[in-house]
Amino acid sequence: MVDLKALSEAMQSGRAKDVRVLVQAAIDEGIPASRILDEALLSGMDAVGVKFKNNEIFVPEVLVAARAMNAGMEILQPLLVQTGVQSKGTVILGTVKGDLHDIGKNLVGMMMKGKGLSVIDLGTDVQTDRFIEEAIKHDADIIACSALLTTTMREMEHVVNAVKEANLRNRVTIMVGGAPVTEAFKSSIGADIYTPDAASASEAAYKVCTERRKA
Amino acid sequence: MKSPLLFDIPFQIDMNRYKQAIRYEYLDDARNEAILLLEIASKRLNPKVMLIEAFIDRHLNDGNVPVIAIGDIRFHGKALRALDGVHRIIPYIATCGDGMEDFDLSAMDMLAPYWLDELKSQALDQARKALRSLCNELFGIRRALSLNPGSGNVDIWPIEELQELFCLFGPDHRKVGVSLSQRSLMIPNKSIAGLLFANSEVDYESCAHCERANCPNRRVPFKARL
Repeated sequence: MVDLKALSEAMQSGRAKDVRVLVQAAIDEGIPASRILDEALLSGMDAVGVKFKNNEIFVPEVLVAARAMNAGMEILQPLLVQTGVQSKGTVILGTVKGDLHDIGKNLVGMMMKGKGLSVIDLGTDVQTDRFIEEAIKHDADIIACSALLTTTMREMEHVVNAVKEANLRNRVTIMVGGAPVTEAFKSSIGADIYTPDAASASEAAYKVCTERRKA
Repeated sequence: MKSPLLFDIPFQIDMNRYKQAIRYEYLDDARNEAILLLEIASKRLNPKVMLIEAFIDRHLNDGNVPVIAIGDIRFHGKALRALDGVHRIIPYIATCGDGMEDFDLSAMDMLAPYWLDELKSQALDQARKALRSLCNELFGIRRALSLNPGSGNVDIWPIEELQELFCLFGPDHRKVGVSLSQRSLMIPNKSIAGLLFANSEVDYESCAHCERANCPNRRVPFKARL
């Protein structure tokens, strides 16, 4: 019998090869894909997020854990689709126009996936219109913008304005983050949520999506 | 102003640091790929340093903001107060080199961009170390302080002034392989640029004036006042 706790621990410590073996074994034993996802992978990433926030582990440990989760998800994903398991929410993620930084943005994406959210990562240097087009296309709950420069963070205001112009303001939550971004800046441009790190961003996004589904 | 000096810096990868940074021991199924990337990067990364000796013509003020003038170029920012009484400065650009900028990582492991980031950081660190030595050897500045546009909070010295800083090198700045985007983003990303100077009256560290409490690269505690 595959121990889902052991699978979760393998994932948390970044042992991708073991995760692949254990996920496959769990499937072969007839454990539902949704249970493997919830009780092993997502709960494992939750634990990783908590340790990261508490400074018990650092970015490299989060990265190897996310990589191990990805290894498990590659096996689980087709089964989840077959059984009609719904995503917990959809996030359109990208680094704003003029900015090429992606390390922090990618980490946010990984941690949001670790919460069971669908993340559409548009990459870097994303034109404002693209955020809107993809939000409409995927019926997104959240647009999450990243910027690392004081010269590019103003682009976030253009995204907020474009969301308003597209009449999406009541449907889409706008999250902002990146080194120069602050709570005061978020308020000044009319965005909804600022978070200072990837773990907080994933928690905030998860909260938005679950509350929206309850409503 | 004299012509800029350009130096190629030999690049030696610290294997232990690389393995530790990427948590190599956990990558049981991707170790070969991590080493392959290291081998490619060790051949292609080419750290460089460009510097030039310059002299401040005038110290001015724009309201409460200190301004320095070097020829036709003016810099504005609170941080420039650290240059009070300073005449000679050493503008510099140091970079990991552009050898990996067009390298396609898309077919590699999902963590390959992070591995490359670490390798480029190592290359920049070696360029930074060489810069300090060159500053001492060429200009006799043993304990050089550094001011960098964009380092610290936004009002300290705005990042946009990198454009003017690059102008100090004239068209020769292209030889160092660092370009500036319209938004003053340096490419390659692992590049630094600023002014080195000696001033026994101050102990300036730009990091001290940035409010990001949890920054992993924080060198000194935050100071609210310059």
